[in-house]
Amino acid sequence: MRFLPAWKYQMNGVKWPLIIYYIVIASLLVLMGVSLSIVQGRDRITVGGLEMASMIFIFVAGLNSYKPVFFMMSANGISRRTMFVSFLAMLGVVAAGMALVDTLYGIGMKMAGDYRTMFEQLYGRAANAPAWIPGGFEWRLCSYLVAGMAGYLITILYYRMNKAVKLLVSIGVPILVLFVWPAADLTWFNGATIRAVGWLIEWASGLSSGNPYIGVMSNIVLTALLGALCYLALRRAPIKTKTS
Amino acid sequence: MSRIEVKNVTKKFGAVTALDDVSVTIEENKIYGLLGRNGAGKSTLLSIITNRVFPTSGEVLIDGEPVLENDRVLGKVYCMSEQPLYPESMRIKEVFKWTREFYPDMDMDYALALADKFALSTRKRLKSLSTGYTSIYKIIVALACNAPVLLLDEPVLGLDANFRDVFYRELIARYSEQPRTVVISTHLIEEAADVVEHVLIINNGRIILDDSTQNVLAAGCTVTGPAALVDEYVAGRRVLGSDTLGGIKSVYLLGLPDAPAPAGVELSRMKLQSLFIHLTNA
Repeated sequence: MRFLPAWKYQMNGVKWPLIIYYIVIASLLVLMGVSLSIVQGRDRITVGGLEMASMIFIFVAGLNSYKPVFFMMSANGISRRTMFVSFLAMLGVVAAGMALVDTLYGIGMKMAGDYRTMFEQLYGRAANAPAWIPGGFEWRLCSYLVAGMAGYLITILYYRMNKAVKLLVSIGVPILVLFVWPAADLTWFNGATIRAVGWLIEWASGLSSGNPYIGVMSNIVLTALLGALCYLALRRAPIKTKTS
Repeated sequence: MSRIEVKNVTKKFGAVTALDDVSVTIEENKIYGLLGRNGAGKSTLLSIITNRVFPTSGEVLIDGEPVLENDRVLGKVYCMSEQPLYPESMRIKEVFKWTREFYPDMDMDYALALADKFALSTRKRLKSLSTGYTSIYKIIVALACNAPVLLLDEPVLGLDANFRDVFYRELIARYSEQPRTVVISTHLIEEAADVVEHVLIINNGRIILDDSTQNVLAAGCTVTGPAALVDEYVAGRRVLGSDTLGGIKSVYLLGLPDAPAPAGVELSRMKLQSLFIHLTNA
């Protein structure tokens, strides 16, 4: 397996976007801090929602990690299995790095003032919630893995579809989820299916029990499931070409 | 070793059969010409050899090992394809750098020297290159990567006569220094005829000719001379085609005539292109 060059290439693709992402976050923090302290005379400022921004970043990174990489590696004699393993390794390193940075950011901001990370807002709602909730790093890591894998799966599936199916899915799925399902749910089930899905999400993420490790476990299972689907979709993916 | 065996490969794209039960063995350290009309199945065959597309049935072996998802075997092959597979925003020097990552035997000095020879700036991004220079950067990578098997799909696409000459010279020089298995798929048949040792002609997804260039060219001849004399001389023989310019006629014959040519009529080597046109027009 020619893993190392494939992994290096995968890492190279995400290196600059990642650096720019954190520069933007840091710049925003400084900019908002400076401007608000000038306007309001405040000497402390916090920026929340970093985990959500990181999830979006890694989801987009997943979306962008397929076609150009697949083409480049195919041009250089890399098998699909190695492409997939190198993507997993890249995603693991990036997710772990981002989870670490975001966790340290949360700790730093907490030390600087009254700051609550998204993780703490989600799992610290209970009245008896402790001041420090364990599992933040693991929760972030696994959430980022799910986000990256979901982006990767979507882009592979789109690549495998022909134009007609792409169009059908692009229009059909949003209509189904945003209009047909809620309408059918209200008409025939009195809102029961949406409530059931909401309950499932609360339970699987550990929000109902206030236990983030349930969320961590669910995200591990989800990552494995998405990864398996990715590999199934990738292993027979052809380079789309005109017949010679 | 770098021997390619294509065994009973069929490839269908929906209702279209691009390759129809193709079996061919490409011997090591020879230069092959893969010739065929547009849509004949040349690029599909090269894509299947490099595992870029999957055959509907059949298999490809390199040195006895299946190419399917086999990094070790795929690493022995470099396929220069017509299709753009490198990121358009990449610079030439980055292409060289990454090729060396994937093909550690890549000769970077040679790549840079070739870039100089072709007057290609390595600072340029791929998206800024003309068709000719796009072929040139791919040629440089193919020649410099030192893979034991080189598959060149339309390598001289968009190249002017001077650069085509440079390419053929470099290919021969490189091959002489380090023999390897080379397959050139091209439409410029007469140019390639001087380089290839073995000819594969593919038509409608089937290999219709698989022989050494020497044998192929010896299988026929060109008869040139005054039209009336030539017509008389070739009467009753298998004529592949003819050209007439003024009163001079050239007739392409399959097989060699038994009788010596009359005065004023010349016999010369068969043109590969004439044979190709005859075989693929059927």
